[in-house]
Amino acid sequence: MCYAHSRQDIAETLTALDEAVVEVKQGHPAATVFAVAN
Amino acid sequence: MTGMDKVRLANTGSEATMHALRIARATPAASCSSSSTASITACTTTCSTTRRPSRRQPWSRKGETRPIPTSRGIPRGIQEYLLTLPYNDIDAVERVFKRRGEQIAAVMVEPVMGNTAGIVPRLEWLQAIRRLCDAYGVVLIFDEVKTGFRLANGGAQEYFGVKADLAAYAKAMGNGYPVAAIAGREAIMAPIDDGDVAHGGTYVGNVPATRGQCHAGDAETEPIIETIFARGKMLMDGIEVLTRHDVPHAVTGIPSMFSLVLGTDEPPYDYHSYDATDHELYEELVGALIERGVMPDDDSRSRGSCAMRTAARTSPRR
Repeated sequence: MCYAHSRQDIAETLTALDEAVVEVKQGHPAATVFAVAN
Repeated sequence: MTGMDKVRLANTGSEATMHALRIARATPAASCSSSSTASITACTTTCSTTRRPSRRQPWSRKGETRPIPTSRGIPRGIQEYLLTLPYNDIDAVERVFKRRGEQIAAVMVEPVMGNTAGIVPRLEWLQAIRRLCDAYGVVLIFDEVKTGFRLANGGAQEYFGVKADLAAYAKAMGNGYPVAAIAGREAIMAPIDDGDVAHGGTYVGNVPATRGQCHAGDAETEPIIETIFARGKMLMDGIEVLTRHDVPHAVTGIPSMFSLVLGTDEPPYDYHSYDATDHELYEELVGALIERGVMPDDDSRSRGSCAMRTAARTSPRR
């Protein structure tokens, strides 16, 4: 998450991760997608 | 360099690993074939095999599998000189040495599997490979193209306390300059000086890259390894935000070279356990990150780990 072309600020990177997770979760029914694989 | 006796410069990690194999095969103890264990990331013809073993083609009972070319243009004959083994599997290595130890010239290991989210080796597995190579007179090669100068100044060898006979370096070594190296024990490198093993190529040892590499650390005002570990640790800890969102995940790798996998609570230990993680969800998450200016590798099944650099800053968000 902090490779050569990424933002340089760690705090910004983690904020982006937080926002990205929220966005992805909104697009899925949680019970079916966010399950641990066997 | 990491305690090795001799160093030869190259331009890329692919070149360095290719020449390391050639040098190893030229040692007196080497006979007819070369075994490779674990993931091999280099793009050379002799190494580009078994990047993506299928779950439908599991490791055989003998603990090895037929190499699978990862590109067209690789002669079938190459496969006869390679064995591929599962990562972190001591029994598989022991079985292969017991059956073929007299035929093996070299074992090449990537000490942290970079293109599978940074799978970390079990120390006992690395130690077992070292012990078996010593017992059978086999050259142990570490592909330190990604781990060299990133896990420690002495690379993975220093970090894990396991010494290789040959090692290939690139990436962090050049700090952006196109320079790489093969380093090894005196006796193993000697055939190059004698002219018995050819090593060379356009731009090998070229002055701009070599001088750039030599001065790369001079401009730094912070201890490099300590700095990238501290900042990588901040990011690894920050990934735990996924716990707050109830997303099953595991953080993988080492602070200066890490990643995450989704759909599991356990870090993968070999390719198959990595393959079983949720790649589709990962790529969806990466897509959302890219939209926000963060650029992880978006090919989940063959992705590089997050490689830290000192330019990653810790200032508060503006």
